[in-house]
Amino acid sequence: MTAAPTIEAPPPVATPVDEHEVRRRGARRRTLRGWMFIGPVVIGTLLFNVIPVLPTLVTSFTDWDGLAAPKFAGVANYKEMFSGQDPLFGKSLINTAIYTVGYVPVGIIIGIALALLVNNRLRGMAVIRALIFLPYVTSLVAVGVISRWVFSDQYGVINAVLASFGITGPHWLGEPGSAMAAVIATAIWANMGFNMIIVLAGLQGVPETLIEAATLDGAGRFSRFVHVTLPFLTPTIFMLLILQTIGSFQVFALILVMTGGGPGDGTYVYIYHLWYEAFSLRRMGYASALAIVLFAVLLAVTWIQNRLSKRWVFYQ
Amino acid sequence: MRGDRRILGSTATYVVCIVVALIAIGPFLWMLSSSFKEPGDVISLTPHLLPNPFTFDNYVYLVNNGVLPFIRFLGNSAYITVLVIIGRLMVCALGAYGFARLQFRGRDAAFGLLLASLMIPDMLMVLPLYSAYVKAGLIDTHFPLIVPPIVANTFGTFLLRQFFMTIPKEYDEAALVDGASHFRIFVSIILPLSKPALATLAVLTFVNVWNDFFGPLVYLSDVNKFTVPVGLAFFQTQDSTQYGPLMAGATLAIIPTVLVFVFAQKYFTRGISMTGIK
Repeated sequence: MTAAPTIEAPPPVATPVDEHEVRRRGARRRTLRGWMFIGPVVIGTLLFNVIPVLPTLVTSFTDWDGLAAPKFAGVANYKEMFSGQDPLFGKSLINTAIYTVGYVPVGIIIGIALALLVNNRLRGMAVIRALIFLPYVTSLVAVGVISRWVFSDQYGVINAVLASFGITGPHWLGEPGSAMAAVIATAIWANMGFNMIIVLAGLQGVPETLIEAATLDGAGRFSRFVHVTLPFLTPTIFMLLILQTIGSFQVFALILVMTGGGPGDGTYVYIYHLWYEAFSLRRMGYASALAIVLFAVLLAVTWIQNRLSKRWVFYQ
Repeated sequence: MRGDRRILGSTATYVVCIVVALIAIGPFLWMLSSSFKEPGDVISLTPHLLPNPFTFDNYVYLVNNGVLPFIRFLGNSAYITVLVIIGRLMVCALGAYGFARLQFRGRDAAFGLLLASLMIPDMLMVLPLYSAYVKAGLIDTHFPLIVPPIVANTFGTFLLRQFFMTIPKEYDEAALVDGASHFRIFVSIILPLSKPALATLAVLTFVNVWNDFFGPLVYLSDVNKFTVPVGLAFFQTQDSTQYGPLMAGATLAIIPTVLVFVFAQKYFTRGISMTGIK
């Protein structure tokens, strides 16, 4: 840098008022133009995805059939849930938790196993990946319809296979425990391709040089996976854990089609309860409270998983 | 020696892959085959994969049962899906352009709002919306299945925004110097360059809307307005042991998404690994 001249004529300036005015008008035009682009999606989101949350919060404190004016009921709806007056609330929460614990970890482990299986350059692997992914794009109702048949005690393929080994298969959908197991197995099957694709994407982020180095150091396949690949996958696994947990708490279509919440209340899950209270019993106020509690539970579970993640998720 | 081991290894991989692939699509093959079987064969205890005799009876029953108009369900699903795809692409692309390539007051706040809205589960909105639709006389119409999915899709807006941000800014600047308006740039530069992202959003939307179950279940009660998933679920509650027609119905529900998937597979996997969401 050369020395700056000490004396210099000030740069020519337009009258300050003018410049301000022009700039302001330009900014206004830019704002208007910007909002013409984002206006539809922002207004639509506000109208259908944000503003309706408030009435849910309000009606959760009322007695309401969805049509007439809601009657203020204080915390009666919440009291009904937590004082045990509604045994199905507790039951549905427990069933949802069982479903989540049964489905999420196994689903993720299977996703990892499949991703490792197809993560190679062998010929035809793209087709294999597509076939594994296929169940994920199909209608859960159709999947439920098929699965009901697969698990049928008399005509189902599973019991037919068991019979060929001389085993009498259970009445799958007729017992609460095995019905839940059948639903979980179906969910794992329907979503295994999704988990696989997400883990595959995560695998591309594992530095190959590290794997090579570990190979040179004499690490076997298993120890390479545990000590090199797995740490790099933890952010992916964490994301799947959050996504799948939130999804599991809202399982509905598969249950409705496969078991109708039964047998008894064996697979009666949370959203089923909400749906039943709202649209069969017309207890919209109570159902609103159920929705609020669901949101609170999801927030809490996500928060806890986030806290725990600091112990095991490794970010590069 | 080493070569042998590698061949052995890849053979083992193939065998496992084929077993897994069969588990994945086996139920669909079985569904397809059963939909062409006669009632006695469908539930036969000595099952065989190829239908013999081959029959269209299940499909005929499905179409002509006099209670559930399955062809109508297909038509309803098809027109709703097409409208949502077209509308959603337009609204999301417009919004994405604004968020990705324009600077103006309120943009970041609006973006934050959209981000936050992604975290609210649908269940928190559905009850007030339902009563609003009742009051507006929109229950038992397709409005709730078409308009909100078009105008309130934050996910699609994010997906396209991510893509638009990767297009070099110099393109816009050159066009602006030439006197083009932003709308012009959007239509004749950004959209043509974004075909892969638009295709991704289109196929993901197809699958989402075609398979949607909760919306039609809650908002429709007139059988003639049903979409395929609610129609199929309803059919099952009526005739839970009519496996032949049920499999025919499941086949019709699944075939469109399978076709879209087969022809647009790369857009699917790209979209899903880009965002982690369907």
